[in-house]
Amino acid sequence: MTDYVDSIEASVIELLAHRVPADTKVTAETRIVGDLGLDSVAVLDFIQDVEDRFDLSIPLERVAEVQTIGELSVAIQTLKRAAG
Amino acid sequence: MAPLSKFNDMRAALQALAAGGRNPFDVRFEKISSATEAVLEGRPCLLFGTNNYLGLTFDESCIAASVSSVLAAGTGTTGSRIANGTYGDHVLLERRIAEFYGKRAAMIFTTGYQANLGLISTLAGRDDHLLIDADSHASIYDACKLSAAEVIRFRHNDAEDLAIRLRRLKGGTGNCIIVTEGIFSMLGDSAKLREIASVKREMGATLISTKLIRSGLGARMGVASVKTWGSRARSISWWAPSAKASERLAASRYPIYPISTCCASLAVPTCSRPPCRPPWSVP
Repeated sequence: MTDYVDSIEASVIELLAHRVPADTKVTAETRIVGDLGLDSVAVLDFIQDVEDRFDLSIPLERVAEVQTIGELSVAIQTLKRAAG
Repeated sequence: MAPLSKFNDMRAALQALAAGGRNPFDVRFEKISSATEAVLEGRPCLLFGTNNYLGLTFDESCIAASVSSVLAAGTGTTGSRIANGTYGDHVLLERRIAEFYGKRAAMIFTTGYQANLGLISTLAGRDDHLLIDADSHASIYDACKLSAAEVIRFRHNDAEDLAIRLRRLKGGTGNCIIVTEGIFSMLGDSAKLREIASVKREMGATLISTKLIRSGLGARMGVASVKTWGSRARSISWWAPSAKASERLAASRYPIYPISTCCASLAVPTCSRPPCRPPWSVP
C-alpha cells in the first residue's frame, strides 16, 4: 500500500514540475500553498491536473483540508479506493 | 498570532499600490454626475465599472418612482419579511418578474450576492453534489461553503469536463446540482448553456444558471424589463416552472435565511415601478 502512495506521490510531483521553478525541491512534506509560491488560482489549476491524471474529482472541502503533497497523495488514494 | 496580523501581506500589497500613485481599490468620487460620469479629484471621468448596464440610475421616471416610494413607505423596511412583514411592492415585483419570465412564481432577494448565497446553500443539502464552474463569482463559492453538499469544480464553461465529473458521481446518492452563470461576472463571457443543459438532461442533474449582474440585458429581455419593473432590482434569482414547483418555491422561502429571518427585505424604492415608461424604451 505504501508503494502505491509513493507512486501517487511521484506522479503528483511530476505534475507540479511545469508550475514551479526548475530548481524547486518538492517532497511529501512540501506545503502546497506555503512552500511553492503558487497563488490560489494556480493551486486549483494544479488540483485539476491531478484530477485528470487520476480520473477522480477532489471535492473542494477535501482540497481545503490537504496541506502537503503527502496529504494530497493519501487523499487521492482514499478517493480512488472509495470509487472502487 | 493576533487576529489582524493575517492581513499583513494584504496591507503591504495595498501600500505598494498606493506608492505607485493610485490605489484602484480606494477610488473616492466627489460627485456622481450621471449613469456613466463622475468627478474624481476635481476632474470629470467616465464610469466603466458600474454594472449599470441599462443606465437607469439617473432615469427621470425611475427617480420619480423611488422618491414617491420613499415618501409613501419610508427609507427602508428595517427588517426581514418573515419578522416584519412583506410590503405590497415586494409582492408586485415578484409577480411581475414571474410574468416577465413566463413562470408561476418568483422570489426576490436584497442583493444578487444574497440570492446566490440563499438559494444554493439551502437547495443543496447533505449527500447532494454541487458542480460549479471553476470561474464562478465569489458569492457562489461562499454559498458552497455554507452548504452541507460536496462541492466539485468543473473547467470553465466546459460541458465535456462537466459530463466527466457527473459520470464519476453516477450510482451515488443525492442530487447533482450544476451551478453556472449566464454571463460570467469575472471574465465577461457567456455560459455555453445549450451544451451544459444538454449534459444536465443526459445525466439527470439540476441546473442553476445565475444572472448576478445582467438582469434586463439581451434584446427581448431588455425591452420587457424596462417596461415592467425598470431593472433596478438586481436581485432576481429563480422561478418555478410548474404549479407543484411553485408551491415548493413558496415553502423554500422560509429556510432561506437571506430572504426569511436574517436579512432586511428589499427597500421599497428599489422595487417600485416607474410611473411611466423610460423615454428610450422600445414599444
